[in-house]
Amino acid sequence: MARRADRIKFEVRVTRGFPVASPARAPHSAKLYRASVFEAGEWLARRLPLGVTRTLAAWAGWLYAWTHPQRVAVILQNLRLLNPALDKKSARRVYSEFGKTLADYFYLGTRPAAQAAEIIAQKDDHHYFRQARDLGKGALVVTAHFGLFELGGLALAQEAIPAVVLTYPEPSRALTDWRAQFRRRWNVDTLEVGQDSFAFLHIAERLRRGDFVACLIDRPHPTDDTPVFWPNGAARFSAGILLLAAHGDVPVIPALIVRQADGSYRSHVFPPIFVRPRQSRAETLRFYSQQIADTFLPVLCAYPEQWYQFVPLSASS
Amino acid sequence: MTEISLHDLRKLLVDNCMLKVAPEEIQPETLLFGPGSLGLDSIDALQLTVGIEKTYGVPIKDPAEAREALHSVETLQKWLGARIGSNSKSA
Repeated sequence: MARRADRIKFEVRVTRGFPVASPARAPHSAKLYRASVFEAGEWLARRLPLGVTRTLAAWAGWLYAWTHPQRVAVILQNLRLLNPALDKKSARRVYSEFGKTLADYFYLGTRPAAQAAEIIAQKDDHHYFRQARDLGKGALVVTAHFGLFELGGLALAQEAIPAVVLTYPEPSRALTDWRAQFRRRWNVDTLEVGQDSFAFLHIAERLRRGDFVACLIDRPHPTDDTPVFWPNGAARFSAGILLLAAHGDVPVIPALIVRQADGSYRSHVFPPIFVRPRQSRAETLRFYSQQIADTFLPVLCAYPEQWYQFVPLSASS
Repeated sequence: MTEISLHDLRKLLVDNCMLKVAPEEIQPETLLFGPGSLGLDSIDALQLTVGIEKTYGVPIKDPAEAREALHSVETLQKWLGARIGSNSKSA
């Protein structure tokens, strides 16, 4: 455990500020977060109807929440940044919703891309993607630990936009490979960063090629967070990658994907942001992080139970 | 080979990185990244490469080359000198 903690700390130190998909850094149970469990999930998804796996997964999430009150407390602390009226019930619901999202994830991964894409029943403002694609500069798609965010890559691929997802190394090579292979089924590449201070050069190269680089921004960082202010407190964003967008004059496109009551998904794509340097780099990061936080806020507030941020995000935590 | 002064490199670092040391403490043998170094991180690396390109017109696109060039102040000095020299010859 101590060795893993050291490794996590190391990854954080060398990649300060660059927000990527980083399940390795979330407080996942080591027993659950491994390739064999993902393989089992996929195996079940091939054999059971989606309705059954969703129900089972929601139940498992609910059970997990009831047996892990400290984790629920963390979720609640995060949720209260959005709305102080949210309670433990809402926080526990995050886990059951997460279970459903995982069921969808495995289900969709076992289907052809075109069929999987049909689950996105409503696509709001995808023209922003197409406009950015036509600029030919690539784009930075920033999203949150919200809904089935992996579907964003599929949505881009369906628009014939080359997409690459930034990720930290998973806890094991096998899991890293499994998840990268999963994305490849949808024509989405994975760019693993995290061990190298110069990883941004790989990202810059992908942007120069015209790729859309997707990353998660709502994450804390122990030494260099960018605070953003929400109705009931400050949250911490890891926003360094916005500087890369500034230097490359690349549009930053906020996007979220939310599951609706009928089980289908709705994508929200927001107007592109062009990051321009301000008085200092800290001020640049603060200003544009806040803009992104403000953009996300209404959707997060409308669907707080789909905000799967399992680490403390409050600036006071 | 063009000579880049230590003063110029200090200014480059001060202008582009969040330094935790006084500029005059930066010496040729000072490491830029990792243990016992100036403690630069990935954002500093990004800013520094952009600063180098803006100031000297020399882009760094290859991570392996960046790691080598930005190992220490001295390696940066040599690398920049060589690159600027070769650029001016080819021009």
